Amino acid sequence: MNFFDADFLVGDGPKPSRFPTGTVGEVLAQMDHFGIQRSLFRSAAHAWSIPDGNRLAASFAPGEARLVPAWFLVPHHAGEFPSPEELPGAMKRAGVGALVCDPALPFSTRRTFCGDLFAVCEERRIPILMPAPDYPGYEKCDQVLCEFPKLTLVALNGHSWGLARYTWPLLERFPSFHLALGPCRVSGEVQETVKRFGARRLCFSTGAPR
Amino acid sequence: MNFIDLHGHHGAYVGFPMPRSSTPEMIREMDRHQIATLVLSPHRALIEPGSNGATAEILREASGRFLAYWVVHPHGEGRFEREIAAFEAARALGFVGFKFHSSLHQYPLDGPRFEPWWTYADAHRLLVLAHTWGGDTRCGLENCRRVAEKWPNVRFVLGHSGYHEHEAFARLAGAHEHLYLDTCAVGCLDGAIEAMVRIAGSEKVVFGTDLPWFDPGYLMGAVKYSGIREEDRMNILRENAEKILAPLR
Ligand SMILES: [Zn+2]
Repeated sequence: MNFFDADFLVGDGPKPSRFPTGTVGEVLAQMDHFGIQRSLFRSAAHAWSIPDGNRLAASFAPGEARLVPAWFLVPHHAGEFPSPEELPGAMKRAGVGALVCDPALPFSTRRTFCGDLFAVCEERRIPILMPAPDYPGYEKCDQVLCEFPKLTLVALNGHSWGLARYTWPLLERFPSFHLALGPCRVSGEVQETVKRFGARRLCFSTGAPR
Repeated sequence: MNFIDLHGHHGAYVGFPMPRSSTPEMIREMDRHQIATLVLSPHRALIEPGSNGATAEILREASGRFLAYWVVHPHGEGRFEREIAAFEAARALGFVGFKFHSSLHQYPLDGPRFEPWWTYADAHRLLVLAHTWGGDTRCGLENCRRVAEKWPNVRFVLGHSGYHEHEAFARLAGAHEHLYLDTCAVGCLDGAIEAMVRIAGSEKVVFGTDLPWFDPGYLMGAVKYSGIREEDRMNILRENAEKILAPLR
């Protein structure tokens, strides 16, 4: 089996890890240990700077087909992020596969702040990954999708227990809503979700090495 | 089909929908993961005092695939004599010991109301599963240590191996002959199974899933990828539990 991990963190964070992922070699060794063929990754540097994190993600493993960088999205107005016009070209040049929109960061995802970026992502089908570490995370997904219902939005699930109440309504209402499973582990939950919505709506994601 | 799971539950639960919580659904999951036997305490018995009798019906329904813990509730007076008689009467159906949940019931594992139960379990060498959690003052390391020292003949499984403090719990388990760690939930922590085996030995770790909470595959994967030897894996998945249960069935 070939796995594509939708959420992998590279670079050294503030906490020590048993599985270092500071270099391309270390990341690939980790992926090999678990039989993961490709990973979409974010950079640990995103924890201290969005522009630096995006720059370091793009330069972490250029030309390594197994590692696809993701950028963090923030409003472009302060010059921290490409403008809506520049974004598709900039992503292509840097080999960036998706954008992470983290509602925990200090910015608003409402239309005034991110609307132009979301509009171009909706039109070009650029995937937006939205961390949902707690249940209100799904309310954020709902809020963005109500304004941009065709946005390819992938919730990065951070929950262990009971996804159905939160994700099934979103899966039902928005055909472009997807779910990266993360630590989802309730007996039968993945199977029942696939039965109702099909496996195409779900992604495998580890959140490794956390 | 030969694995044994010493930590399960049963039935619907208030927190969230559990798609595999009925007897036939749980048995299908066990079949899929080659689990021959599951020892469980139903959610109802955990929440509602005096409802262990309903567990008997579940045991009948599962025709041999389930064994059960009698859930001990701390609140209410004069319950021990009455309940122990009911426990003994139902034992042949597949009750193998007691379950304590000091966090849920907000009563310390080594508190006086539980003493007659521990004394009874010690005298009859029963299996006891207790929910344990690092830092919890009702079911933390010191509560478990006092119990293990006072009642050394109980087959005492430290549920969740004192999550967050599994290394200290492993040292405790390593020092007491009848004390065991389980994989339930704690197995998901990076490096935990390997550390428990290194500190306490694989003879002191049993397999637990919390089915129908966890998909058993999740914890089997944790055992499989933990980096321990095949022989250690088999101790965890079967051998230890088999030895524990043999005199109780
Ligand atoms: Zn449990």
